[in-house]
Amino acid sequence: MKTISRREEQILIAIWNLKESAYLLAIKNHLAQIMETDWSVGAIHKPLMKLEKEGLVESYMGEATAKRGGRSKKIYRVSKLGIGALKTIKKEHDVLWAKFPVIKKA
Amino acid sequence: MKDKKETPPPLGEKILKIFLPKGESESVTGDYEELYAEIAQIRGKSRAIFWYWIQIMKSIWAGVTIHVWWSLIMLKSYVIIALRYLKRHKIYSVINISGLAIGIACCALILLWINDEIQYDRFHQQTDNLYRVLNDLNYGPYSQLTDGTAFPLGPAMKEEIPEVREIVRILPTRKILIAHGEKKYYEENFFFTDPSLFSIFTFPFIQGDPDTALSSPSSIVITQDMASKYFGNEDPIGKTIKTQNQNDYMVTGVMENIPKNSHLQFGFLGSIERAVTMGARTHWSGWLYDTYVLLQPNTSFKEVNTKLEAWIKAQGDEESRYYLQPLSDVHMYGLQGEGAIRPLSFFSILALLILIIACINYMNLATARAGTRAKEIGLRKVVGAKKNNIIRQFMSESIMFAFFALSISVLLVMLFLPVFSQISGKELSMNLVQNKFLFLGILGITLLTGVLAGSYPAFFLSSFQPDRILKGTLSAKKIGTSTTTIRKSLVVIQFILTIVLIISTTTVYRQMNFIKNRQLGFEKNHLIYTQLRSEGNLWDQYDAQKTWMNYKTLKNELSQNPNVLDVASATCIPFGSMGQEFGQLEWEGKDPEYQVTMNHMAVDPHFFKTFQMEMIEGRFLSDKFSSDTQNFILNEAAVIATGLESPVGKRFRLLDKTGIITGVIKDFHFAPLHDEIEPMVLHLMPYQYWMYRNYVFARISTENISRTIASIEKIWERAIPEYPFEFQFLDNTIDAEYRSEQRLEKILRIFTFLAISISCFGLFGLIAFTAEQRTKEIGIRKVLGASVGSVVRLLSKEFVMLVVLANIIAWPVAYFMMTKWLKNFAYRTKIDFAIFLFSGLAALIIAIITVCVQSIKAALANPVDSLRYE
Repeated sequence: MKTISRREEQILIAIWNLKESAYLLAIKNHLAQIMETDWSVGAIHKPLMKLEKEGLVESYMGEATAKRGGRSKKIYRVSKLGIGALKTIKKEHDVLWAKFPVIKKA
Repeated sequence: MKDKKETPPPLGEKILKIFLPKGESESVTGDYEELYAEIAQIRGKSRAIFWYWIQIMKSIWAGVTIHVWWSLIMLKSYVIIALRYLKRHKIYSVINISGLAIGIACCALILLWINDEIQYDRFHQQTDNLYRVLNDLNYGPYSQLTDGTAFPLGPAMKEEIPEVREIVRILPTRKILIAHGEKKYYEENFFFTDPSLFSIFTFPFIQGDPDTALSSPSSIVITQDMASKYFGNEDPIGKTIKTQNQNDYMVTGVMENIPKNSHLQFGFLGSIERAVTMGARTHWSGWLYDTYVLLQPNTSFKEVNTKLEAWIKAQGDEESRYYLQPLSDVHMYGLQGEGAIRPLSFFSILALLILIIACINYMNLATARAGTRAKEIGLRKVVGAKKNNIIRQFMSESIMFAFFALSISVLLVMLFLPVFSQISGKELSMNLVQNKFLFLGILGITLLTGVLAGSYPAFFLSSFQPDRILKGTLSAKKIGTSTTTIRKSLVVIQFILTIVLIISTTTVYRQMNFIKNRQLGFEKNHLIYTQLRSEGNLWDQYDAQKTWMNYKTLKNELSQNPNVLDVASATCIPFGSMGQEFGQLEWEGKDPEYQVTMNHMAVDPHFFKTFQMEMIEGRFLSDKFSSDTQNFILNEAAVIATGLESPVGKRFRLLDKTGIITGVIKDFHFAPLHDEIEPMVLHLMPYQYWMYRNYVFARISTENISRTIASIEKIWERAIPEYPFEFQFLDNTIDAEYRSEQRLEKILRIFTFLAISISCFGLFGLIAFTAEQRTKEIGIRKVLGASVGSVVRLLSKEFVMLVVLANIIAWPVAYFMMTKWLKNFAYRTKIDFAIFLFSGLAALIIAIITVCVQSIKAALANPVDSLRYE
């Protein structure tokens, strides 16, 4: 499996959470709400392109709105490969973080 | 909340699209627009715009760093490798860089020359709006393009065509005598003009006021040089000069010297009011005046041309068709392309050929040695270099070589600039800092050289397949030989160019020799001549009696001097302008319908002896027969033109003279060898001719020439004190007619030498490489008993064949070119097959010597050294 960075991981989860409405700005807003830091468009776009190139996400063109000057959205979706990657990461994290509260108590 | 939707600046969006990846631009610009609207809503439009531009800046910056930074890193690696390579293969580098340096230097020198020529007439502040009026003249049998225009044309143009802001007329004069006190000289730069000259052109004054300097007909404006020539250190203002010993002018202004790059070269400017006769003011068919016009800024001169043509037609003037020529074209194109452009374009092509020969060297050596770089390329490809990267690497390498060469060529240019200035007849200087054209031009040539030289090797080298190289299936030697066909053809091209140049140079040289040795029909050497008095202009009055007496006295005195062999006078000088007659020409039995133009020349009876002319039949005109003043001598061409079977004794009429033909003279050249000898009629100088122009010729003995001339001068001063003795040698005057051909010969000779040298450098490099590759083969051959001779033959055979092949192709090309060039001359040397053979052999011998030096070295090497490690 390809290794992915933490930001890629966050974006991947954000896409998963947003389901059908996962386009660039929605992802950006979603992450901004959770992390309390507002990333720039480029900071999301670049990892998105990499994820797409590596086949972890898929995309299709969504509807166009007047708000966007008549341009359609590019909507992302986590691919099978992406889901697999997320599962692996989750498992690794759980194992790695398992004893964390113990350390805190001590 | 407003309903109106905010949209980002459209320019910004366009820039953004450039930097976004292809498939993404639509959705991402949409995202940006959405975000922009949001920010505009919450924080205001100005903040949104600011934010938007910051985003763009960031993306540009990112783009720049990614592209420039990383390519710089790669470039650094390319440079290091190239430098190492340069150091390791010294012969190869020296051949390449020196060849390219010579090529670039040639181009740079020609560029300096071009630069000098295009600067002509650009120093005027209003250059872009200045035009010369040309006149396409159709007058009787004559049709001619001239810069002569009618006197009333200028003012009429100013009146009728609103685009014409100002006009100036200039009346050039023939050689004029100018005197101040004891100082007397003939001057050719005396012009009459309108006072508007100073407001149209930029000729700054040192003393005097340009507005009023020419307001009086007797005033004159002179240049600084003329001021010091005639007045020394005195203040010239208010002083008087006399022209033609009869007209007084008062100096009212002193101009700065006219820049060398002006096609108008004045020394003296008089008021045109003084020169124009009453009749000429309204005369539309006297085309003596040059007219220049200043148009309103930003007007198209083509429109003015149309208006001018329509207006002239409306006036019923059917002889002239006037049109404007931009001032900046005057020097470059002349009247119809005979200006500086022709030699310049020819020499530019020559310089480019030299550069191409040098570039071929680079290509050949780079591809021949490609094998030595194969592993490097293979490795680069393995670690991720694409074809493009390799191309870029070798391009940057060749461009780097070109810049090395540039630095050497700058030195070469500085070294050879004085020589080149002398050949081109220009005062050239290299000022790269101030001159953008030169700077960019030389930079451009260098880049072009780099790209041209690097292109083929770059594409060839980048096509290697890394697996085959690294596995060893594609050996260095195989790579070297895979391009031999192309390399051979390039060598052939080099030698074709070289041989064509050799043949051209030889032919031009032979033609120049032919001209030098051609029997002109008279003896041009040791013949000096001068004007008997200043040439008459229309408005000057001359006393025929006085001129005639002057000549008699002078001739008597000169005949006392034993070193002066003969003295004669005539109305024309050979190779100068002749009188031509078309209508007033008749002879016995002439068909009245038949028309012919003949040149005519009035001479005194001693002319034939002084010029040592040859008679075919009949006798020379003589002062022993009083009737001879009405008689004529024809040259052979004239006899053919008349169609007379036995011309001697036949009646002949020219203008108001009727007499008989006393003799036929052998054809002699009175014009450059470019022209066929035309019909010529000679007759004795009638008394009234002493009013027009006259020349005195004196044949002097070959010994003590300077003493003879000094004594002639003394005699002159006694006999004709009112005119200066400014003599010339006739042979010098005749030589000067071939100046452009002499220049061509010199430049061709230099370029041919360079072409030969560079081609041989290349050949030397190639053979050195081949020998190096075949070291072992040669070693084994020698061990098995091969002689030095057979090894040399083995190595040189193929190159010699190439030069032979080049000869075969070059001959027809050169033959075609040289026949065309020789057609400029009515009298020319034959194109001899021997020239071709000689030129081809010369190229071959030089090539063989080059090849042998290297192959003998290889053949003499001890086989023990080359086979030691096997």
